[in-house]
Amino acid sequence: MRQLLHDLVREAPGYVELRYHDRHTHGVRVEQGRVESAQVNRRRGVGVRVLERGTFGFASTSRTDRDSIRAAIDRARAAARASSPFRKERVPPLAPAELARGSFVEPGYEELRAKPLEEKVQLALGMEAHARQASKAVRSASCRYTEIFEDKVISTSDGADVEVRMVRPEFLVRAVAEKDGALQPASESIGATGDWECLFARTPPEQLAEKASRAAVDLLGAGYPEGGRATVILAPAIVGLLAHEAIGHTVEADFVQSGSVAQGKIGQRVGSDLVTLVDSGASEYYAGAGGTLPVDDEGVATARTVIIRNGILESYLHNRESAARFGVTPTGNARAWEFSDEPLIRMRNTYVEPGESTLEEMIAGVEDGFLLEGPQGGQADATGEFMFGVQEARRIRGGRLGELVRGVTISGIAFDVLASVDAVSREFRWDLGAGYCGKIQPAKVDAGGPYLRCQAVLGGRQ
Amino acid sequence: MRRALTLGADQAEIFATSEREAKVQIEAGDVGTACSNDEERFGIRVRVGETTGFAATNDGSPESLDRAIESSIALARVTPEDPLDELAEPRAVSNVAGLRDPELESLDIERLGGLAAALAERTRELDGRVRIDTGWCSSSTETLAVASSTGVEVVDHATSADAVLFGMAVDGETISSFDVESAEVRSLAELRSELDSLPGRFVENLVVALDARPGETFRGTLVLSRDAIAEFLLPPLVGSLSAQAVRMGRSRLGERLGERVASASFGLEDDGTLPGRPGSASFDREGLPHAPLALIEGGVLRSFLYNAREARAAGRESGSTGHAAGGSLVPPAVGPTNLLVGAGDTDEEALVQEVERGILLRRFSGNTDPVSGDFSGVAKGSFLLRKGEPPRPVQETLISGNLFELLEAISAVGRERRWVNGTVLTPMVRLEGVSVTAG
Repeated sequence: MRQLLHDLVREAPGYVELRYHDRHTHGVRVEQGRVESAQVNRRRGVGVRVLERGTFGFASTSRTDRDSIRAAIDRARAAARASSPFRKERVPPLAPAELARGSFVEPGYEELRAKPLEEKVQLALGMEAHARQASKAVRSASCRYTEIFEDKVISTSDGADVEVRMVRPEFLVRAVAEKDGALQPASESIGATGDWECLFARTPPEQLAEKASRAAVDLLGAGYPEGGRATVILAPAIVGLLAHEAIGHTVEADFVQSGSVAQGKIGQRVGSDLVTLVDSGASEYYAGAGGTLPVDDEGVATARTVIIRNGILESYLHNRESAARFGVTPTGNARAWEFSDEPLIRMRNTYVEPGESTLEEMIAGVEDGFLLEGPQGGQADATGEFMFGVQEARRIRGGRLGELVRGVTISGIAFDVLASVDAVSREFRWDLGAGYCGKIQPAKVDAGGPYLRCQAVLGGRQ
Repeated sequence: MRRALTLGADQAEIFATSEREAKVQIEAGDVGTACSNDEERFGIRVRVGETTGFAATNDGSPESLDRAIESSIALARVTPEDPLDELAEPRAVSNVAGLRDPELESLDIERLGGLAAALAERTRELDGRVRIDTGWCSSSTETLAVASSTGVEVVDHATSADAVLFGMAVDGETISSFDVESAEVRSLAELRSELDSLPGRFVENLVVALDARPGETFRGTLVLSRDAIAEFLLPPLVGSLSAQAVRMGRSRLGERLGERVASASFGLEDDGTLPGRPGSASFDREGLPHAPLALIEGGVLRSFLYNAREARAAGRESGSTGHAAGGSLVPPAVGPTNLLVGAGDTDEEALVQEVERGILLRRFSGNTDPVSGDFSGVAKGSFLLRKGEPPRPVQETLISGNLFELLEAISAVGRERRWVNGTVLTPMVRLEGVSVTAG
């Protein structure tokens, strides 16, 4: 396939980008001891992007023979020509970039491919039973295991010629506890780029199942907090969510062009000097982060991009078009979910760098506040306003951990929250590897960081 | 399907789709990438003895289909037995009207580009402060077919189009919240009509949001706009009405069939047979016909949503309600079609003006746990209501409560119903006892 794409790119005039993407997804979901679904899914094809008459044309085909790909190139050209008259501003010549060549096979691909399907089904069956049997208060449990094998070939007319293979497994276990008709769910999830050794390196699946059950049972008896502004210590997963949702999206260059809150702020202070925030294609600190990506979908080698250094906004995230518009080097952030999707500016592994405090010191410094763990999804706005759900919130009083509360949401303006950071832990974790980012298309990303102490608004019950 | 039986399956079902899509994007307010995508997809479900396997592929070559069949059989051989997972028995299907529009089918990418350009231009003309971050106009033509060894054999053709605007308003240093307006239709005439009104709605919501200020902290009333009903209230409620959720013990409504679960003024129906609606289809994911289904009547829970397996598991004599859901790349799940909230008797103006202190919710950015019903999140593009004062746009305002408790605290339902995104027909609804926290 690499040779075929290379040949086709060379014979076509102008800028042509061909991306063969073959995705195998294996998934099993177990609930109440029954395999609810077990599936093997293969989706493959070639996505074609051309730059013609100052605009991009994109076409895709699920047929991967020479003639079908040639026909898709023609369709992409026709699409560009059809839309070009309506475009007010031409796409500039793409920014020069470090275009990748060669073969990249990420660790774990071969190992997981060789593991029998039966083992994967048994993992889900075993862990669902483990979670369900962990407590008499657990009324139901479920477990989902998914693995996505990615095989890509990217060839561009200006020199990218690369083959990439990687696997991303995900594991999720969920328990629902019941008391007097009231139901309380809790879940634990983990995701990685690599094999099972990587996926379960820090927490074995049994422990994840036990944690989910324990959390559901404990939360069943928890009260609700009063809402209002509070001192909070955010766990690494929530720090990751903050870095991704509330900061990362506002610095995606396409969004900056539209007028995001980060527009015009390069060089300005946007956070406490304790905050350095990075997006990287590599898995920094330890292997296996779920958004690891050696080469992006424009064939650009991925870089480690410092977005905020010691509180000062330093860079946006770019593809080759936006880099040309901003007069900077592409950062390797162009990503497409499937062969039939065109590349968009997306994050990879986004994190806050660790600091020097211990979690114990950070808790001891809080007179009245909360320790927040377990994100339950979140969104951010053009204004930098964000909202994240929190599975477990533990009260801190007089520097000591107190009771558990539930139903907590935190909100704030991202840059204000970063400005309020007064302590950063040494401990670092990737903790969103089972997550997906949604920006028109899904994308596998990871995020994490240390524990951060800051000010935010808690949604509670009045 | 016959090939699957030859290769060793005892039963087999194929759900195949063939789709041609054209899309012209709007990027940063300008016409952007034009896309043309063609794809065939095949979902293969097999039974081997009393076990089930599923595999999907988008490669229709005989070799690839053979590999997918072999994968599904291999998977079936390593999963435990499930006697309830038999394939659906066939039923008579008649084609729903208005799902295919020849005019839309012949819309080429050049004309689609013209529509996208006009959409961006019209938005810009209405108010220069409004920025379209992303948007698009797209059209697609799809053929769907289900065949199974139990005798299901159905085919249908459909067209659809959608238009989306997503962005914010920027006025000097002031930036509004995001907003999104979208429309999904089945015909070119409907698309043109939606393109006329979409920019106006988009601009109005964004410009108002520029004046948003922090709200207040109190416990009070929540008025749900139609958008909020479609995106905040109904998804977790309908999730709890899935027979699958009931069987799994994760539906709070699971043991309340025949009981009052909402105020008497609240009703909810599902109907996938409405002509020309985006949620309508001639058959469901298993090839069975849809039918109108009362879910909640006068506040009383009347039915759950079933596919063939869930109906069998629940011992439902009349079988599936025609709610097998999902695409060709996934096994059948359970899901709604078009949802219709019953009309009430309160004038819409009164519904808002009678509120002593509350929030008029347009969008909700937060989390709702479909099991417990607990929700907490930010009220977006929303308004603070105080009796005798005009509604005031708010920001940094969190709302929280429990959805199932709120259903029983509905104090008024509006008289006038309108469609949201083509698949939800609803009036506005007023609820009492929501916690509001100012940031």
